[in-house]
Amino acid sequence: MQAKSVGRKKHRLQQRKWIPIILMGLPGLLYLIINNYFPLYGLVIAFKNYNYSLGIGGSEWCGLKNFEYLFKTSDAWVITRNTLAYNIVFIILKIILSIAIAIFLNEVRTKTAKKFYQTVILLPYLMSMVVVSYLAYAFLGDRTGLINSVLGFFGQQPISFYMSKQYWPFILTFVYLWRQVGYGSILFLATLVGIDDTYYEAAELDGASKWKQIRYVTLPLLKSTTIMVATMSVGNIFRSDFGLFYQLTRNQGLLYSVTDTIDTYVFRALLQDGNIGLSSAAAFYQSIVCFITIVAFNMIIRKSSSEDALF
Amino acid sequence: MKKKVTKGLAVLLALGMSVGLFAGCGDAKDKDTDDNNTVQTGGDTAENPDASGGGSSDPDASGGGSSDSDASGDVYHMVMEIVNYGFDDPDIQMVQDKVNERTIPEIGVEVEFLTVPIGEMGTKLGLMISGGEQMDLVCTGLTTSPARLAAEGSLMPITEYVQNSEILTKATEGVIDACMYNDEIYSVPGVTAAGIEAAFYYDKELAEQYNIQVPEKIETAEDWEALFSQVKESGMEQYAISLGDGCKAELVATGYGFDCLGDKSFCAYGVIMRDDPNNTTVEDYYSSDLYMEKCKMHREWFEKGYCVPDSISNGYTTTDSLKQGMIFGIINNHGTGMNEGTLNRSTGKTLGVIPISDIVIQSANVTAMSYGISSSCKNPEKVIQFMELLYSDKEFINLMNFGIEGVHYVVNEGSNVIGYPEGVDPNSCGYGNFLGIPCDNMDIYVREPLTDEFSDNIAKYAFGSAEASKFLGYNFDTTNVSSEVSAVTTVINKYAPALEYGTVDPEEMIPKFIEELKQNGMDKIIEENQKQLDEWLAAQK
Repeated sequence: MQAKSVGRKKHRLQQRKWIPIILMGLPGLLYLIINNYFPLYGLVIAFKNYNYSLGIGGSEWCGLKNFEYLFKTSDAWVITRNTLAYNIVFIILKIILSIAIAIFLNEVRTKTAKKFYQTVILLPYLMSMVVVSYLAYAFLGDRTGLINSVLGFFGQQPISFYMSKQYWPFILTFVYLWRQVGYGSILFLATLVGIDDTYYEAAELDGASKWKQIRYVTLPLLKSTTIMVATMSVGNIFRSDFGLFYQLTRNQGLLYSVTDTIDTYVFRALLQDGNIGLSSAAAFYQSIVCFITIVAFNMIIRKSSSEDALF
Repeated sequence: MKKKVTKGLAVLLALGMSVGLFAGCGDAKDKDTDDNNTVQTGGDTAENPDASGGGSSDPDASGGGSSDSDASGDVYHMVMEIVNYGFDDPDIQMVQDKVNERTIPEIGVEVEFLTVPIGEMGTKLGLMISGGEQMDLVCTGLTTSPARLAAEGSLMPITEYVQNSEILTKATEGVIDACMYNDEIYSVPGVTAAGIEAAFYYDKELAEQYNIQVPEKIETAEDWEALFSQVKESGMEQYAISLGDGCKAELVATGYGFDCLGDKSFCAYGVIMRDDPNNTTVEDYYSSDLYMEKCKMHREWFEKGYCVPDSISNGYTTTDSLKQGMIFGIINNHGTGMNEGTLNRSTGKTLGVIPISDIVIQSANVTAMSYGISSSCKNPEKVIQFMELLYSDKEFINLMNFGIEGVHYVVNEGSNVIGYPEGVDPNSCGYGNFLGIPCDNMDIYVREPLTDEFSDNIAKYAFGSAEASKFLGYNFDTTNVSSEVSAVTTVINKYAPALEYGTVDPEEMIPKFIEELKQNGMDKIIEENQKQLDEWLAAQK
């Protein structure tokens, strides 16, 4: 009883200590509310037959009619499958490769070399998807592409990449990883830099090889960062990189069965009449699914290793 | 004590920062309005209308009113949308001032040009209306349509104003019907001679160099074959034609042979074939024999090597390919808006024209360049007065379209043709880089290399001589089938480009295409469209 009340008092004192910090966070919080929470009101557009002159409040309600088009198409399954499958592959491969690159970078001892590699690996991330699509075209093009020129040189039949869908799951995955791993490795690298050298010294004294040091020291210490990165990525599992799926494939109809995702489908379906009710319905639907997945994923993490759960 | 001070400071700081935040919002907004590329109006004219020579605003008459209204007189500040390619004409301010020199005294309208890049025009108007920004005269064609803008509440019905205006009624006779939506007029055709034909534009220099015999008119597949085989055999390194990226391949865009009932890019609403003038049956374009024939023809061209083999993915439009000297010719519309003059300018070639269809006036052509009044406009009467000038006063029309005489153009003596003044070329000319001004284009100058002959022939494209579609003014209301329309549109996107561009075998692909269209509700759209069309036709009688 006594101990409990002391504990509570201590707790209250601790709380008081946080007040200035909370106040300091206030501007950021306000920003968050204004920027991220106020616009939530706009979600009602998804349930309305939006009319510009009547405004959000004045427009008629139309129930779930705006959502219909997402499910009425014969491609509903294809686009859902593509979005989810690509994202799952992307998340897993991206984390594995990012960790590998972070470890490699961490082993580079010369400072200038390290900076150089880091920059080179990060560079693709800074490129616009449109530029990337032209780079890819320089490799894959029918008449002028590098691959087909080489094939032609060896007397092989050229491959029409933009007509043959079997290549695209690999091309898309490759380009995605090429673009993203550099950026992904930064977070892991930051964690690695923070790992105390004494762990490695102790391991070395015990006669652990480099591989064993990575296996038993580095990787376990990266666990919480990995889980955090995974949770964040899972929160976007129902959204796709529009530029990747639209620009890189040059919007080729013959490839849709392997390249059409929810975002590209919505873009194409609404290109004609630009109805914002329908587009907000799509965004709303994506957000709901993402919200459910992130909460579910977090729940699993909390069950298995509660200290790493995000919330 | 010290702690309290720190805390107080923290609160103050936090407050200060949040205020800064709000102020930041405000700044951002102000900046936003500046970024709208509005052309600043000359200060003195705005504040002192009387100084500019009192035509309509009599200082004595307005003396009785409040001083407030005095300051602005009876001058209405009107914002007009001018759609361009993303870069602004340097002399737009100069022309705007010149325009205001006339409009302020004559009709009491002070015009402000607001340039909007074509990529933004689809969303800009809606955002401006909901953001409370002023916009009066808006372009309702190009990437949007009056029907869409009217349905989303961005346009004001102007039936009364147009019908009461003798000038507008006369200038738009026969074509104004195309601007009707739910029995109200929402826009005025920006091009009065709105008829178009499909045409094959070819590089004249190449034709002369390689001695190609060009036909007077192309009608059948044999005519095409005759022309293209010549090109192929002549030994020129150019391909005969580019079918672009297939998507909206120019052949479809021109829509010859059928009326697309409003959806000119995808034909997703069904079409009405024009072979029989009394035909009112809506049918699926993609199931028609016409489509099969067209795809087969393109397939043949592709296989014979007449067209650029990778144009579907190389990212060049047909016009780009022509500009780069990759091809002999392209198919495009031909009319008063799009013609050899326009294309010569954008490709730098000297082009010849071979018509491939009759001249027709369809709703989609008329509304492709039409102007309406935004639903947020405070004074539509003034805007209409301004438009009346554009549809009646030749000098004013030429000013708005071509800029100032001597600076932006010179008239070739004794003709209706204008050229550039000495030392000015299309690239250095400070005015004219936009996608059209609404006006009566029957009686304006034409730019070189067009000739008086073109000028004399403009009437051919106007109502009376060109055949007008029977369905002008019919708009398909997609509300009941909106999800089907978007599903069908994506199916069309999936199959049509490859088919129309000739890479796949039509015999094999079209049946699959039709089946998927049916799965996604094409029949339901056609049925709904037919029902609405029948009702509309019955109401017309």
